Amino acid sequence: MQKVTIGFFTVVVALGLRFGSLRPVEPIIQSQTQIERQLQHSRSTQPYKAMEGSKSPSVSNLLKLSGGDLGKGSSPGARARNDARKAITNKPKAAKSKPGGSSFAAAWSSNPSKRSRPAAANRLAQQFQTGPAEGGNGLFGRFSARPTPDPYNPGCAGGPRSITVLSQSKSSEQNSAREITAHDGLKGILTDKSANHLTSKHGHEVGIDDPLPPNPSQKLTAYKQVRTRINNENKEKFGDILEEILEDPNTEPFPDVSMRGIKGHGYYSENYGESGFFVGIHNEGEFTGQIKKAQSVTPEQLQKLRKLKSID
Amino acid sequence: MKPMNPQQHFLKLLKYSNELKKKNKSLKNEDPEVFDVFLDFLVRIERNLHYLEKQEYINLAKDFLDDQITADDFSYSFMAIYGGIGQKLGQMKRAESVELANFLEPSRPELGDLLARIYGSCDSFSLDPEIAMSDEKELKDCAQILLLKLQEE
Repeated sequence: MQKVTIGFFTVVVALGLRFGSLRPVEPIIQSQTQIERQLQHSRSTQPYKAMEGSKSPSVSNLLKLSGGDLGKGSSPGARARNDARKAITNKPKAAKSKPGGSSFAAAWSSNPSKRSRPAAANRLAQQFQTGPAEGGNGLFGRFSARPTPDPYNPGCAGGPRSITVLSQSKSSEQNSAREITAHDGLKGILTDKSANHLTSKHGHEVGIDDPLPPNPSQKLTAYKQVRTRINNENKEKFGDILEEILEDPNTEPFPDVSMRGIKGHGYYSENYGESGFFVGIHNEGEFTGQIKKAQSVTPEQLQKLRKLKSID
Repeated sequence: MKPMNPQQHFLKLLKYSNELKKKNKSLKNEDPEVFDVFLDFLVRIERNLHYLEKQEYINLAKDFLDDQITADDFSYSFMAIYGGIGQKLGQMKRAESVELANFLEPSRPELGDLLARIYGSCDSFSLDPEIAMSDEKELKDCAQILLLKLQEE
């Protein structure tokens, strides 16, 4: 009987403690639900006021508490809502710093330098931090980026005719780079941008007959500018010719040539151009390993190459 | 036997070079020393052909310095004149034009070197700053020097 009494007492004490510890949670859940309702109501009816209403510290704390849980293991929609809430909680500080300004506009601005994230992410954030009205991607990357004008293809009235890659996106260029192995075993990389540049300036010298129409502002002279059209076909052709030149065992190597003061490895072929064609790979500096020269040469340039191991 | 004058020497080498080409051979590979002599003749001719077109270069430099044309246009236009003269020389070589022998003198080494350097600057110019190795200022300097050089010649 004594054992039964002790056992009963233990059970009562344990249950009492358990319920006692749960008691403070109940009001929190209630207040959380209430605030969530208020927030949802104000967001649906007055979005701008909802942001101002977020000054309430309890909402702020609540969102801080719920942020982690919503962010992980929840649906994309829930995560998006959570992101929106985070933006709302960050907003009041920005609004305070710009009195009289639009709180909505202020919500688009952010200060990436104050956030702890990798440098690459910061760079990306800087690109996206402008709002859609400013042509940026916005905080969430939901808006299309302002296209980067293609300098080789300016289009009508100088507007962008085509979009190549975003200025900060280098991966696409790296992916489209072409590696060519010369007959002496040296490898040279023709990046997409170099292919654009070299094809535009020297494509016609290797028989690519696809010039852009003359620029209307161009003055009429005896010698007309030739800008070979930049497209995949012409770039491919140009790359093929460079490959043919570099792989040809009759192509003369210049292992230590100066290209406008930058050391490199040069190759001279008599098969293209009136007095031959030169291809140069940088051996030092920013563009090491890249094909940065691919041009026909005149007797003057050829003599300088042979005598001085130099090309301008 | 009377020694050959430079004009005769050049025309003889031109003929020889073209004969080798017809046989898919090259003077450079067949006889490098003779090729160097021949190349020296060609360099002199090329410089004088450039000088013959000095008004084209002067007009171009003036237009650029007066901001009538962009740096990009200057770069392409300069390369068009320079390359065009190289092409003209090539055509005259193929045709074995005796007229070429009239351009062996004077030598004009400074002009040749200057034009080759400007060509390099123009070739390295790009509107894309990621790959550009020369800029508008460099091209303006080139245009200024070119103008001074051609006006004093």
